[in-house]
Amino acid sequence: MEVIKNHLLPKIATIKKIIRETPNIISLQVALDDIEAMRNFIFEPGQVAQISVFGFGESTFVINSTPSNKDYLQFSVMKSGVNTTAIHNLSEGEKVGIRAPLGNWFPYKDMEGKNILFIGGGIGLAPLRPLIFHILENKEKYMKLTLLYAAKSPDDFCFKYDIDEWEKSKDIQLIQTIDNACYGWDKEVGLCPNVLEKMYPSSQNTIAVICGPPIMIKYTLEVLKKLDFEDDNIYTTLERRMKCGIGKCGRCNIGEKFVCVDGPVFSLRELSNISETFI
Amino acid sequence: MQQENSVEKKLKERIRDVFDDLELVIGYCQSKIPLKVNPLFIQRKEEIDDLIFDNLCINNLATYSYFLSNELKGKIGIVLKPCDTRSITQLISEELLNKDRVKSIVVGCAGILDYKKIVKEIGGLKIISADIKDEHIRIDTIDENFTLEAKNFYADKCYTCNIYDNPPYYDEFIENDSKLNIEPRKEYEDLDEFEKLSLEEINSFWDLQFSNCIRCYACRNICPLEVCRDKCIAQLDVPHWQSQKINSAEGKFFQLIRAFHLAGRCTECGECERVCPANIQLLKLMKKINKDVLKLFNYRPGFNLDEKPPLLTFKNVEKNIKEEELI
Amino acid sequence: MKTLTYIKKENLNTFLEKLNKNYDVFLPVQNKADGTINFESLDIVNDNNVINLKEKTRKSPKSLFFPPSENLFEFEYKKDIKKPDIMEIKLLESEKMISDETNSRKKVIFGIKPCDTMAVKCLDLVFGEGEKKDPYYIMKRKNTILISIGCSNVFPDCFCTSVGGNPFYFDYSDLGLIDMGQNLVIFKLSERDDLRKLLDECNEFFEEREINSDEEIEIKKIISESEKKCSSNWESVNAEDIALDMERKFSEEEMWKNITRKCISCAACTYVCPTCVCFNIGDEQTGMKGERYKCWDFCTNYYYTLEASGHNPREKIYQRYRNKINCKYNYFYKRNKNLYCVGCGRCIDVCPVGMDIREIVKHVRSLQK
Repeated sequence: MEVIKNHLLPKIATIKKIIRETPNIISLQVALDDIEAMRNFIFEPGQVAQISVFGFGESTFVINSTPSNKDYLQFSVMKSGVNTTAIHNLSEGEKVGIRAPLGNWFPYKDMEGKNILFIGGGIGLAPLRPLIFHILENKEKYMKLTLLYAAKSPDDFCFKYDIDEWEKSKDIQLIQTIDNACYGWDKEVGLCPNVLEKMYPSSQNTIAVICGPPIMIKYTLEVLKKLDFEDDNIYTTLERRMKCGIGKCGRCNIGEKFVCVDGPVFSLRELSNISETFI
Repeated sequence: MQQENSVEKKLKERIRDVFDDLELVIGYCQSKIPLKVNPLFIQRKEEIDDLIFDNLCINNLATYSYFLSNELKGKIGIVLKPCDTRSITQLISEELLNKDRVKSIVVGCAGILDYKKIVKEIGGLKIISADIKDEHIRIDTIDENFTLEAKNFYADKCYTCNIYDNPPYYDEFIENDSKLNIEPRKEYEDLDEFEKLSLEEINSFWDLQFSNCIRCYACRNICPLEVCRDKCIAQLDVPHWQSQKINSAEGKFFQLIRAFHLAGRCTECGECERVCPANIQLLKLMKKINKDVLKLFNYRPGFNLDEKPPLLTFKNVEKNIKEEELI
Repeated sequence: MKTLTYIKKENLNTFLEKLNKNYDVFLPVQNKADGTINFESLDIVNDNNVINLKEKTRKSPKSLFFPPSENLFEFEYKKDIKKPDIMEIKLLESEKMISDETNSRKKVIFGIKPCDTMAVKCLDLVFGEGEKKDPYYIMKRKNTILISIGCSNVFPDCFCTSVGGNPFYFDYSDLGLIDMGQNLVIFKLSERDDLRKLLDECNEFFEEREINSDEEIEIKKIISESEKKCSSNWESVNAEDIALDMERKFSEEEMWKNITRKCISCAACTYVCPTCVCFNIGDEQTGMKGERYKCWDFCTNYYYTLEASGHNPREKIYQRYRNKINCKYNYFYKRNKNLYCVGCGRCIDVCPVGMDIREIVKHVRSLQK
């Protein structure tokens, strides 16, 4: 008899480490309890996972560790609902359930030989992180890399350990901005779209990858348009309320696309072909 | 197409007169389904012609008042039966509705037919076509034909109604030449049998009723007083009060939440029971609670604009509750 | 030489009784107390609950494959005395739960209408196709034999002919029967092994003889009359055209607001619909044990798309209803080249405020743009 894989059954994993990113965001490093499965776990940058705290429910997060890391998977969790609060209350060594990998990923092969402009807002850097790592690991295949990272205040930047490294790195140019000036801040000040406009990056042979809160995406896209970026060369990754993660339960649709199977990564071209608005 | 009756004509004329002050008028129109009518939302004057008013107009259009008055800026006209005005009165008395935002256009009522009663009488058969003439309902189903006497198939509330030609609240009143002509019954008479049951029997009665609940929330959403539609604790994630499972235990839990939310507020329009796809006797529960509220607090919902519902307020000493005896 | 295989209607009850010995038989049963008809087990048929094969059931048969709520798995927290601050967790293999389902007896749905079998096809497309399948559905579905009777009776809210079906559409039935007054005549037979086995087991009920020309004409007449009646209920819809039209008029916010104004966003239409299968997933825990379940959910519900952040992409009723209509006539067609509405008309029958899906579609299409 044909055995059908049960994609709704999570695998048990253990939290190896918890990193506090900002006052309400933590990152979890978790490893599947099945050592063999962990070693053979393959995912692509941009794919997501459903993390459950049994008794509370499941939520969707992007796997933000680098795909080449076979020791653990990293997720960043902002405290907002029942399940995310439950995750925040967990400590190292405790168990969660994982269903992964789900969804599609950034077409990094198509980006080879091009300049890449990463634009992240707040926790929106998380989906870009595995892509940035992957591209940095294969730097020779890509041209100039730029990262514009915006946050409300200096405290709201996640992944400070990465930022420190990227700041020193010659392979990637890092621009950080905060919404309002504050004492001791010597980098850019201003909203992401405004800073982007000031940067005036060339759209020539360049791909823009953008992720952040809906309002930031909306206005940043307008600037990218102004800068002559084509819809095919803009990628974003979307969030919707998800339950099953395998395209059955229906709720994460934007028009005829399901974010959980056709996404979460979309080019602006794909999105503009859908009548329903994605913001 | 039925012939226009005199009250319909008067109604249309009155609405034409007041239409310019209103952003929208809600009334009734023909439905393709026999023995049913549809709500009609009139935004242009020529649409007034589609209005009807007859003994099939069972929907309580007050349901739309709360949400529409929040959505629209202008004044809304609503065609109401005298019994429906109780819902409007209750909403105003609970400060959920601003009196000035709604124009109640009340039409004298000659009784309304209860679709479910008719369907039950003909054994659940699907009605292919029907017409009403001289107090007789003629019905065709696929194999059989029926002729029913209308006077036996009015909604329960009609048999105890004493406001059909003197609505307790209105902005415009259109008198109906035909009058309610049925044998009146005593209020809450139908509860007598029920109240004689033992606690076990009552429990098993409700267990059986609620085991059919599919949690479609039609009862909640059609209710003119349940304005909680999108904030209902039965569906809330944070805090997590109730499981989303659909089974008899959760169905019962949800229905009891509903009942308590409406205790002493329900205006007994019967919409919940009318819309229930599982045929649960929801109104019976509401009536029982309302009867108790009447006994304890001498309060009848939907008759007084200024009186607060007893369970939304409190007095230091309640006349009819002897707390010391309860201890 | 053409032959006619049939079962005498007078023998139907004994046939079903016999079937019920080896199979779980479900069929339309009418509750005499309130007149409602639903798919129920043959076991509950008695004086108060009678078989009714003529009328349409109130609820669709989808709950036989897709129950209102169902456990996905159970979990248990365990404490190790040596490591008191760590809770171990154990999952009760859902595979085990699923195989229990497989081992249970085969189901027969008798008297399922052709439109409902079209709906089963839609469910197969949702749960059974694609890279990731849903084992909970497939296990129940695989085990079920569909025996349908063509619709000699067409009701005013039926419109299967408009959405690509017809009252005698048997492509998705394992056994298709036509009611010829005294007899139920086999019109279509699938190649399923388990159906062959079933028919062999109940061999004594089936009679076979040559068909005469009058009967052939009568069958044709029954079919064409029903079809004619049904197609008079609504115009025929070209799936491709309608999907395109929906797409084109998606952004007509004012129109959508106006035509959905009376909708109260309840789930009556969704929960009686044979194709609507959106579901929710949740956890419940008591003490150290708990379960994860899936249960019905409906897209016209405010909570359906509400995100934890408070953002709701489909906040207003008109947006949600527009999504529903588009799901049925546009999105599903784009994904699967199949409409997601089978024309059973149940939603029209139960709607508390008289929303008629045909009127809505007609309205959208009539808008000039």
